[in-house]
Parts: sequence; structure tokens; C-alpha cells
Amino acid sequence: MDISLKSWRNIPQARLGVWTLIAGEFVVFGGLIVMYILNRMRYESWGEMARHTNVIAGTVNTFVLLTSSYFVVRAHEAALHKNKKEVRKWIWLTILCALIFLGIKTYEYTHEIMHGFTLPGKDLLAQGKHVETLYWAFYYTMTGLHGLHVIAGALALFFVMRHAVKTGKHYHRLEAAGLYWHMVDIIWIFLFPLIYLVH
Amino acid sequence: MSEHPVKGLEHEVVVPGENDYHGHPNYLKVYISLLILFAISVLASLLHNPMIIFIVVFAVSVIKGTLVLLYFMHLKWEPLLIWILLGVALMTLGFLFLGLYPDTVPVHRFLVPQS
Repeated sequence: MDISLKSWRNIPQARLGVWTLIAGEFVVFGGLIVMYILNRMRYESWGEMARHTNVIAGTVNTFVLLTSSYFVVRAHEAALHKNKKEVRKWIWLTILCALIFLGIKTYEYTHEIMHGFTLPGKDLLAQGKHVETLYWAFYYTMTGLHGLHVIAGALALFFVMRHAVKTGKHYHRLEAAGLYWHMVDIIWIFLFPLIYLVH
Repeated sequence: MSEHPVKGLEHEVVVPGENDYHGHPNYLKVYISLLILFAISVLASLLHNPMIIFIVVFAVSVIKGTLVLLYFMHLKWEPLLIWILLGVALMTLGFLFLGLYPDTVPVHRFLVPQS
């Protein structure tokens, strides 16, 4: 870690911008996670609701996102060597991971909605389970917002990669888009155990 | 890592020098460590005590998140300013937790003697 004043001035602006965005995103998702943990400590019935999530789907999705993060660093490594072919390969593999993740999440949502675990939670409300509907509100907000970030990250990687490969310039933008992608991965690293594993 | 300014915009934009990067850690090693930690958290969920499960999986998540930050995101080689940015964000979350804890979790049962 460089602590000299000169190093502060010389941070590339794209990277500084993305790090600032990441700090903000950590507060947004962290706030949701903090509230989830506090409510989970308060309401024991949330543990029962967590049993209705699909642990296998969540586990596969975690593996997919961790693997995609590895692909992104390989793409960044290739970008530093201006190896167009490798950059294209690793970014397309990352985008494929994003599509698999979103596909599995869609399957999960379909399954949960079909079982009456919807955002208004009419079935649960009819049974007088008000606290339990709050669980699904948190579930859909956290995973839905995360899903939107997966889409945004995949699009950013695609456009940055296309531009870099076409023009042979601005490879450093891949690092900025990659940082964003890793942030998406870190958020999931915390969402997965809280939502799927702690019953 | 050294940077060079864009011509004509010397005081506005700094882009990284692409030829002399700080180097890369062994990404495969980090990835395998992440997978091992991931397996530990899944196995820990098979335990019976929810509090122990929570502590183990949350601790593992912190380690996994730190590995991604330090090595995949190269935070290890970033200047202090980036560390401060993230530190402020994490401190905000700490204050949020401490501030909301008494209002959310029924803390009175620990403070008021039960008859």
C-alpha cells in the first residue's frame, strides 16, 4: 500500500470513480444486509421462511459467480498484454456465467412465486403471517437489486471489451469494469450464506 | 504502478500505464482458496445450531470477500485513499448496526430482570 501524497494524485480517474461507486454500493447493500441480520435475530420465523429457498440453486450460482470473477482477472491480465483473442475469450466466458446466474435466479423466482411466496405475500397475509411477508420483501429486494447489478456488470464488460478489441485502445477500462464485476461477486458472497444457509 | 497523463489533458485525466503494471498474484491459487472456503461454508450449514452456522458462514464470507478485494481487485496495491474510501463505507455500516440494534432486537429482555 502506497501512502505517499503523490500516489493519491496519480490514481487513474476511471479507477477512482469505480472505487467510489463501489464504496457507495457497499453502503446500499450493506444497509440491506444489516437490516436483514437484525430482523433475522428478532424474528425466529424468518429461519422457517429461509428453508423455502433453493439451496442447490444458490450453491450453483455462487460457484458460477466465483468462477466468473476468475475469468475477469484473466481477461484483465490478457488486456495488459493487449491480447485481443484472450480478452474476448475470457469476457465472453464471464458473460456466459452472468447468463447462467440470471437463468438459475429466474428458475428460482418462478418456483417461489408458484408456491405463493410473492412480494405482496397474499397467501401468507391470509394466514396472518405478516412478519413472514417481510422476509420475502427483503429476499426479492436484495436478490433483485443484485440481479440488476449482474445485468449492468455484464453489459459494461461487453461494451468495454467490444471497444477495446475493435480499436486496440482503452484496455484499462476493462480493469474498471472488472472492479465493478468483482463488487457484484462480493455482494453475493455475503447474500448467499445469509439467505440460503442460515435457517 | 506508474501512470501517464493524456496529452492535452495533463491536469484532468490520468490513465494507467499499461506496460508496467504492479504484476499479478497467482489468480488460480486465490480462486482455489475461494472454492475451498465456499465448500467450508456449505458444509458448516449442515450443523444443527443456527448461531454457530451464522458465525462460521459469516466469518468465511468475510475471508472470501477480503481475498477478492485484496487480490482480484488489487486493493493490496492501491494507495491509502482507496482504503479510506472503503473504510468509511464499512464504518457507516458498523454505526448503522449499532444504532439500529436496540430498536430492532428485543434488548429489553437482557436488561430487565425477569420475575
